[in-house]
Amino acid sequence: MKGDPEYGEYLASDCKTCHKVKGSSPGVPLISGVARKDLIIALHAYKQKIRKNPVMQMMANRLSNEDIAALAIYFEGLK
Amino acid sequence: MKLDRRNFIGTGAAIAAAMAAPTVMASGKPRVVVVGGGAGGATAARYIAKDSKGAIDVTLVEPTRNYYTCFFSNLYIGGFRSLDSIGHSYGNLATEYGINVVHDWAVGIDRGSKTVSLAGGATLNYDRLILSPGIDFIDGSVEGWSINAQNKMPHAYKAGSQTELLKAQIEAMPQGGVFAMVAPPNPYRCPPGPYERVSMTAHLLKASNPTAKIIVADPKPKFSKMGLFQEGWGNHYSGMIDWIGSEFGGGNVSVDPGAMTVTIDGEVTKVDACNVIPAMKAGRICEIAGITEGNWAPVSGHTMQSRIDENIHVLGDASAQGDMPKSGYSANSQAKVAAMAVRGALTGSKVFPAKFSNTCWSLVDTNDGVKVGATYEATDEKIAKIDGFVSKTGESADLRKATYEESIGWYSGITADMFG
Repeated sequence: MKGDPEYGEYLASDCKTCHKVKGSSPGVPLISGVARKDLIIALHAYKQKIRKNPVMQMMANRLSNEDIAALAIYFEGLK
Repeated sequence: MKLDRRNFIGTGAAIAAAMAAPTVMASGKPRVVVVGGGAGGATAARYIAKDSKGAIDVTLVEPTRNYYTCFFSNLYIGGFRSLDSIGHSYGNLATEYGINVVHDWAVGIDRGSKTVSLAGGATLNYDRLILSPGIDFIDGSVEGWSINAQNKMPHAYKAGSQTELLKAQIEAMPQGGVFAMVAPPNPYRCPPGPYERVSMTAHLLKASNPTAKIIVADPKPKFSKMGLFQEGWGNHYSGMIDWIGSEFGGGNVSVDPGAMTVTIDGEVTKVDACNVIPAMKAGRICEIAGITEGNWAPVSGHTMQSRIDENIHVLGDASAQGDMPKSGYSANSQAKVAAMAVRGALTGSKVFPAKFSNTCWSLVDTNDGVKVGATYEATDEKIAKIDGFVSKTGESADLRKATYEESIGWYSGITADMFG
């Protein structure tokens, strides 16, 4: 499914509080510029509770497939 | 939006601008005034300026020139952060985003003429107004305490010099001395805040004053992350902390700043340091604007618009925010919803359905962090919780350390989100 980057940008404002656009921190990995498919896999893994972090599980839980696609394409495009 | 000084200064444009009357907007752009430059206001100002790409004139009114975040101020008390590290300047917002940062107090709002009066005498015109003034204390809510007493018994619930003062008072306690806290009734800013403070105070005292005692007089029967804090206090600060909840008379309190005593349910205790956290209400400018009902400003969660005046949005602690707690994270989350709604109203840009989230991290001791959080959506009735999580007692040391490190990442992120 092709994501809508404008919708992705809106959804991403929630993510950017912790995941800064540039740079990472010890507890919070960098997601800007990450390959689309890696972000999609990660978000689905949190949604299915395969990956353990409860903050991310909660955030991913309310994302539809369309939302995840939009976010992935948006973050992939961020340099 | 970055100003190119070499071309601007000394040209005709600069001279003309300096001579123009202060309230004339030559460009005719829609104007937004934001009152309050904290987690709500600074974020809203930045997002509106950034995402409108210069189509909207944004003025931010904030009295402090250097903003000390209330969040993480407890970590400064505990010795985990320097004061400087939690202080932030507004320079970037002015330079990088072209926001008109005005260091002044809003003292009046005329909703009919859509103007904001400043203490310094100037008047600002707005098309949309965003109020994010935080909280003010309710006079007389703690018997014996008033603003005159805040040097003897600090509230340290607006960060900066009050926090420095409280930390210094804790450090100056005699061996075996008593630190008392009078905790606030619901609802108040930062539900776990007082208990993180107790933890950080205990951490400080354990190293330098291990026989010191901490008493908490609480008008509430329970508090945020109570099981987690009590687990941590038992593990790290055993015997040091006495929490007196409402069932044990914790709500029946008076203080005497002159004599340095706290009276809890009739029993008088001499104290060496005392943190009084009074009951709270919306920052007073909301009341002055006439948009409060009781102590808080009611809003529509869809846009954070005041239910009383559609040209005014209220963010953060001052708002009646439904299921969301009064936290910096919440204010930042609400700011983005408001910014999107304001841009949509003023420039016709796309508006998506409001979504909110919050996470509150608390540090109990070195590398022992706990958290609670939730996601929310706007209903017509209120901002409603969808889903949530909270740390569990008995978690591994590794997980608690990771939770603490996450909070460091969050702090770095939210302050970048606020200040650019």
